[in-house]
Amino acid sequence: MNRQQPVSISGMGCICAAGKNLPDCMEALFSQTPTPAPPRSLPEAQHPVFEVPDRFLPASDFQNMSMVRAVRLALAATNEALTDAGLTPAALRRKRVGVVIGTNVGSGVSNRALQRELSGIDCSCLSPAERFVLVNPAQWLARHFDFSGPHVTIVNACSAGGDAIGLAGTWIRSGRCDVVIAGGTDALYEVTYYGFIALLNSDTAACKPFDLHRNGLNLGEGAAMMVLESEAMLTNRGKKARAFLAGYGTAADAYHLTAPHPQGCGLHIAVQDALTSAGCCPSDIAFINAHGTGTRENDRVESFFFNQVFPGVPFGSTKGYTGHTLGAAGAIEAAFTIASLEHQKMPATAGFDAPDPDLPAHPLTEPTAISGTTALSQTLAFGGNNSVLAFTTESSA
Amino acid sequence: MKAFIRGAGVVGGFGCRLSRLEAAIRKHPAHDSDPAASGSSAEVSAVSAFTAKTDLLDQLIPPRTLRRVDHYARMAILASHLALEDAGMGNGVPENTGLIVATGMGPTANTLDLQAADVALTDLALSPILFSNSVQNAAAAYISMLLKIRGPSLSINQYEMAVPLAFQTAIDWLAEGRTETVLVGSIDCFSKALHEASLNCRNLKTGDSGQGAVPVGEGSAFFILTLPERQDIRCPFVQQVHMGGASRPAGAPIPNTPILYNGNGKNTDFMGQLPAHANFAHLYGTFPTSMGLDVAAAMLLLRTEHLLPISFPQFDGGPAFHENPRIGCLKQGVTGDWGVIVIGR
Repeated sequence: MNRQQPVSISGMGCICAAGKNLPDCMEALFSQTPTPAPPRSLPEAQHPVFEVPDRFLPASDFQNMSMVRAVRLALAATNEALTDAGLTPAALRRKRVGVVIGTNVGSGVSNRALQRELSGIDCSCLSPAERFVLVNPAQWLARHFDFSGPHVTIVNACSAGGDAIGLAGTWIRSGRCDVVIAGGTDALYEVTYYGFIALLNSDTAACKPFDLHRNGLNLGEGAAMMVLESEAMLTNRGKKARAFLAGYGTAADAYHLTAPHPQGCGLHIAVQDALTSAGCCPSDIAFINAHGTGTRENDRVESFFFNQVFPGVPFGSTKGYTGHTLGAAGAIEAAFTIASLEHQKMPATAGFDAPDPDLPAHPLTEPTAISGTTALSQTLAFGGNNSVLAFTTESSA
Repeated sequence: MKAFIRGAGVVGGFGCRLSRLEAAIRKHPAHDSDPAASGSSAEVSAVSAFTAKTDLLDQLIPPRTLRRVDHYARMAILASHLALEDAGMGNGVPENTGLIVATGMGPTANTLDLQAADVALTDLALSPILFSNSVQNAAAAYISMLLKIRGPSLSINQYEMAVPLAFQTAIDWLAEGRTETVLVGSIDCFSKALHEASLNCRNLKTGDSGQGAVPVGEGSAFFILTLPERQDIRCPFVQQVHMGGASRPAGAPIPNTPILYNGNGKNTDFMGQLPAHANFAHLYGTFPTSMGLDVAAAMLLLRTEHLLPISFPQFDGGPAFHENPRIGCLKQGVTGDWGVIVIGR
């Protein structure tokens, strides 16, 4: 199996606070200054979040009580991605279609429902086993669409969505699947909301990635899905790829449960692996979608890293438009990266205003034209995970 | 592609290390350990379950290092260290070793404790340590930190299919050259949720023997996988991984070998197709990723004299088996999904 073989991406879908689909999100990224607000579902809460308005989701989804919010978001993004690819569920029935979804709170949500049931607050006919299966986004989508390939939920914390896309590439290259639906989804959730506050990682105002006054992240929610497709199937359909997954690198820091390695040890390995598998070098990179959460440590590590490895290469964070969507972040930002390549323009870093004199590299302050066909999207996660995806809009054929 | 198993480490109701699992199998069908009372909260303290003790870990790693680590991660850390010990890699594994952790329910006991406090949950009430340990890749993070592993790392949560998916991914990583060594394992811990799952599946039987309901369990199994080398003639290996489900066109390719069957008591459509088969749930209980312990047991059966006839009295072996010894591990999940891992030697 040659992991230098690019994998075609024929469709994409995205839903988050910035927009109900990918075109709306990109329009917002290039034209709006978003404002997070305290979560509607937690009346006492003060820390602002980027919540997806219910009107972004089909009303019919809310009638299915067993469908948790993370699954609703995943389904919306998947429907958009399939439509974008020109595929229908019926057309996929005889194909080997896999599903790989990254999430952070997937089974946590199921446990919450179980907890309420055990406490006598709620009552349903679902068994715990059924709960775990029903709220598993990959299992749910595979069942819903009657897909016949393998399906798996990745729980690599904040890098899960990126890792899902990377793993999907392997499934296509190995010949195991004709098509893989891959991405990430996460919904706002009380435990993570209060957890980040407890870790002193949550800003009480809008997040300010890479800014001198950055003081933590804002949580968000959303989903993004991609349709990865074998070259043979794409050719048979007479379609062209929208972009290509050119490389994927992932590595652990082996340093700390919740903090990045101070010198970005795992990040260096992951980026080098992604570049090697993409067959390119740092100067080939048009821009980088940074993880850029707005926390002191994450942004410091990334700034030093960019200055050392990618001097002069423009970078930015889109967390100021979406919040940190945790398990969805890697996928949402991957979709933004490809769309930015298509637009030949990358968005400004919302929230960034005052450069930090202690940081050697700074993000873009305005939407900026870019030149080039290859870009990186990187995510750093709890547990020391670092995952980097390289995308190109140029066919190697 | 074959992936060779350099070593394995196990933790479960039978004890720790392969030697304890082997001893338990030798006593088959008697239990090696009594179902013990355990749990994270008072509500489950009276529940019978095969719970695992991790005291041995304090002899391997300074307890101070582990002071923030919960029981879920302790089991995984212990099993991973025992896998290195079994592989003769006590001094460590290559830095670029890949790490894959498969779980069915994740650190559920921990998460339930967090959620139990949900009624009065505030930013002041939530413990940052408890929250950090509730993140699903916490076990993988601790292992990578303690073993200084900086290769690719993946945590999978796919209920009863997590183990075959983890092994398939490990083989993929080796095949595509992402790494040359993979530490792959499974972990689930006893929790109120697991107990409730068993109560809701009172027909959760061992599947093949007509025995009564088997208690739930917990445990962890880790394996060091590498590409084949010349000196590996006698080394056990993962020959194949297959997965499928009720909606999939092809049925399970049941290998014509002894089968360790890990069913759920509900979907029994494979039973009529199975050649010689056995079930070890009475040794470690039932839980979503107990298939990891089945793989370790299959490895033991292939490498230890006399264990096979004890476990498969109805199987007469024969020249074909002696020429090409294989044992299949078959997991059938509540969803109708199935996974097969074929171990050879």
